[in-house]
Amino acid sequence: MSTVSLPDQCKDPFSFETILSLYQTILATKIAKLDMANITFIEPYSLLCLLLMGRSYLRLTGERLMLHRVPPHIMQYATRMDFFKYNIFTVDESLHKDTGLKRSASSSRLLEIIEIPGKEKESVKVIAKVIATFRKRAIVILKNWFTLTTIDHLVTVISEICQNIFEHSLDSGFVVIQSYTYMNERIFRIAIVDSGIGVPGSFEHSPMVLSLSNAKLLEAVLTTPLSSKRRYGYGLCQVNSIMEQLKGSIFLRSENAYISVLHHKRAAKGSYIFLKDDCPTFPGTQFSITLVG
Amino acid sequence: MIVEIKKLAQGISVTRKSTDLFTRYVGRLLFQKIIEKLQHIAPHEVVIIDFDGIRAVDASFVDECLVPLVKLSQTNETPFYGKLINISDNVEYIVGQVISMEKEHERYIVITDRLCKNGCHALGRLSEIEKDIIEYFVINRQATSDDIASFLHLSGDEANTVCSNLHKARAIRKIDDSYVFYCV
Repeated sequence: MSTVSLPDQCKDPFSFETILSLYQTILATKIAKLDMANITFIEPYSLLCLLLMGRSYLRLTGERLMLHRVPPHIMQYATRMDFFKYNIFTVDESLHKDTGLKRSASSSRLLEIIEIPGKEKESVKVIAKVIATFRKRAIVILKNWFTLTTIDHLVTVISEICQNIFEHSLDSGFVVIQSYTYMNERIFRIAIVDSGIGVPGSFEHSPMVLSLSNAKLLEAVLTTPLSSKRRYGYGLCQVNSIMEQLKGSIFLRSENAYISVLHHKRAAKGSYIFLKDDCPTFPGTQFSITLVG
Repeated sequence: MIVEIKKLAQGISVTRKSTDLFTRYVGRLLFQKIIEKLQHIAPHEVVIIDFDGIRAVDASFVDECLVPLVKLSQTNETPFYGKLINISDNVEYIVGQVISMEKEHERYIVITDRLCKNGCHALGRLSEIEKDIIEYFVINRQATSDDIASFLHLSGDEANTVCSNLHKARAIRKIDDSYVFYCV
């Protein structure tokens, strides 16, 4: 059984691109084992994308990827995030009793990985559950950003992005929310991902956007009321303007492109938009919404 | 008529215990419930949409529920006037954003019971003159276009045109063919 060693690049959405670049090789050469020994830290977006990689592999090959030599603290974290609940990976060493979770499994500082179904009615129920749980835990998760209006706005963000999964992706997806500290920086992150047809696929039949590169298309959906289904699409525009108000950042990836929008805390410095085409191809749409402070 | 959104939402299984209204699905269901209630309104009645107990909405909900309601109020069959009350900052922001977006020849305005961040008791695409007129009505309750003309130093025709446009968007009331306009 061939193995690929994953580099220690699970610290943010940008660094995870290195691991996504291995995806096509893993598929093409049917590598069945991922060596996790080098991973020292994994954040929520990377964890969800790893889950998507495993799911896509399972769907295309019928085999489950094996996680090999998972460091105990990564194993603890993944277990606590319900990473193994979806039965997508196998692990060659299970979590030893002595290294098990010392913290409560129902920690309030995060919202464990939840699957968003691809059908409207079921999805609405799950989104309601996600929002209700987020509201309950928000006082702890958003300890450093807590205001009622911030929570209300983030509820809108979660709902808008999760809806896009069943409306546009033609697939199911996952959501996870967590606040954590990394390198003395407090980070709040919502990750919402799917492996469906992606933004370019959703706009395949829209002549007005055919001339745009994928990264430009991602910019267009975030900044203009563009929709592949209706005359107007407000959702992602709202997400962007809410994040501008909250001075947060958005990382949106789809197929082979990404856009990163950083709204600076000082109004005078405005917003930075960074576009990138020709990234490693990975199916679907992946969002990371971040507050730092 | 007062439409208590929270009470109507309690009749929908996914929003029974929720303080948030989200998704197109919920928007469509709630719009149907509101329509049922509107069967009994009189022409030119003010329909108060009470958001007490609702913390957050999303654009999809607004697009499926409030936008069609505002559209409906502008028809001539049974004209009515909508007014949002007890809205949170989030509801104000999302409703304002959605109904302000360009819609070619359509224009939507929603009256609220609070002074919004745009400096007016209304949300939507409004010129500065229109905002002043709406605020004038909030204070004085009723006026003719001549009153508005003298208040804003406009010609009689200009004032009449602006007031008529605001009435068309159901931002101020007019009963029958009287020259008097009323606050919503």
